[in-house]
Amino acid sequence: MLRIFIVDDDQSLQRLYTLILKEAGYEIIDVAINGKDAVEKYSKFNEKPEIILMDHRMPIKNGLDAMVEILRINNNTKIIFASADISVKQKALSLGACEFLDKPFKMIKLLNVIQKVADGLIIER
Amino acid sequence: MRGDSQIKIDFKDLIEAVPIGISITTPEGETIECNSNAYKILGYNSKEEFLEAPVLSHYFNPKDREKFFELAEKGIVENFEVQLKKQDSSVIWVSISSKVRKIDGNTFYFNSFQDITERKKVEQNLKESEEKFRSIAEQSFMSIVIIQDGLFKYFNERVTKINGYSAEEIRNWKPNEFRKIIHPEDRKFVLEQAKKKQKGNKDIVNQYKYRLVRKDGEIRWMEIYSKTILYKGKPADLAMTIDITDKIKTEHELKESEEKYREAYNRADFYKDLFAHDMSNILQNIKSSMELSQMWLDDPEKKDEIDQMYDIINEQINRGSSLILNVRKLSSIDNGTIEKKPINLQKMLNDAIENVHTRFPPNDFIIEIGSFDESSMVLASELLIDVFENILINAAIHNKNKPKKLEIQITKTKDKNKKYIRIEHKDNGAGIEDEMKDLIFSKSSKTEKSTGGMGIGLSLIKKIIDSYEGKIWVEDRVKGDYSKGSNFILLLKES
Repeated sequence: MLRIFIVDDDQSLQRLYTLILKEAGYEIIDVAINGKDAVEKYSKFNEKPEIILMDHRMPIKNGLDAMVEILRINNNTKIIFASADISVKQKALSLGACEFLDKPFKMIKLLNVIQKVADGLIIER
Repeated sequence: MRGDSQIKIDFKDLIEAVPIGISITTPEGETIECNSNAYKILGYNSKEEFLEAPVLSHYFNPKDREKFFELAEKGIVENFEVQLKKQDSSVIWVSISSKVRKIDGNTFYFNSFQDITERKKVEQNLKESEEKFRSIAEQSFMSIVIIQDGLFKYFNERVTKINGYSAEEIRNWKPNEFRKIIHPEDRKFVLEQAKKKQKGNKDIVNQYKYRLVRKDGEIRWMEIYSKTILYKGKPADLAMTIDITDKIKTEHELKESEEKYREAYNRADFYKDLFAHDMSNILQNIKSSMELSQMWLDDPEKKDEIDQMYDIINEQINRGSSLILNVRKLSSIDNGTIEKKPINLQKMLNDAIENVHTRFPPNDFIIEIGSFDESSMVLASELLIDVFENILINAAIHNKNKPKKLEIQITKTKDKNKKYIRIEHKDNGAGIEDEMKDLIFSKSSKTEKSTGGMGIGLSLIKKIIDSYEGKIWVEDRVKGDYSKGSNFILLLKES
């Protein structure tokens, strides 16, 4: 079962992402409320998540900065951005994000993107 | 006799040696003796030719001969400057000095003269140059002054118009009295520059701005262009100034207008950014909740989850409404339409607590207010209730303790001689990390992007407090340990 780590400062969205992804058969290993929290939690995971669903605009540390630090720890982690900040889309993709979802998006789109990334992971393996 | 003869010869040599013309003439117009310089000055080749020529023929203007006679009546003529004609009819200026002698009843003029044509040309050029300067200066729209020895040695009419003093008053100024027309804050620099230029120093600033104080006290902005010149053989400060008050005023208005435009642009950008981010999150919540509830609609086991989705939708609609309301309030503050008035602090605080307790019951959220002067009035507006509600709601939301606690302490204080009321809100919540303490108030049109998290709540209350000329900041409830809770501190002007 693919492990997913959710990073978003909106607690309702954390809850909704968790519900949907669990329903779709993924394991949610944890949630983080900002970039700093995400990096700290990620570095402590014994088993790293395969996918991170990452918001960008968050207090203390934003998603882009958190992604750079996480990829430095483990370059294999797939990071999917889910953000309303379309202005950072190109930068996120160039820095290593594998997908960028513009908020608001349909849940089916999220599931499709995760499935696509998961398929890629299976091929890589 | 031998000795006398020797003296006579030496005297003749001396007459020949002097670099001036020497002649002896009669009132009848004859030249009876001269040295060689005399005929050479007037362009004659020989003494004989010169002696044959009538004296009057040497005068360019015959009337000058009469002037000479008039002067000679006193027995002596000193430096009579006159135009003479040379043999070739060209005209030269000479300066004649003469002594009248009577010998055996006859009158003789013992004359000495020298060619001063070059000096006259220089003087004429100088005169023309001065006339040109004066003509330009008098017609100039600039104030033109020549300062020497601390005095206005020359000034044009414009100077009197600009500084309001009459020409006579300016002429009567004592050395450096002109300092009174320079604004006290600019005086040191301007006087230093004027002094340096009067001395002919090199380390000078030729162009700068300063404020002039008119006789009637009005302050005008001036731009000065000045340099050292030689005036009557001594260094002087030539200062040309132009009144730039209107230009400065226009620049100021333009700057203000630019600032307003930039502020408006930033504000528009801020609202756009706010909606792009916060509304996207709200819509994402609603959209996801709708999709999930639709997915579970036919599943009776998911009834509770569907109810939760409706709660989320409801919550997000309230969040959106609140966002719109807050934007309207921000906009009204930006437009300056909020009226400040004395507000009863106790009543406002009690109303806010009552409202918050409808959402967070008193048993779950204990709010205690320490004793204070209940008649205390603060200078604020009706929006003060939003400030209190926002602080109280944040204290409840970011607190997982049971019960949640908030202690409010109110004291009177002074800051820069102004009376304030200090209101501290100490909670037992999650606390705020140091790096976030300023950031939580910074989501505004003046910052590039919002920081996410608390919507515009705290930035709005900061804006409200700023409009009251008050202060708001956050500290740790327990100094040095943010995890023990926060202390939101408000300073409001006492009314």
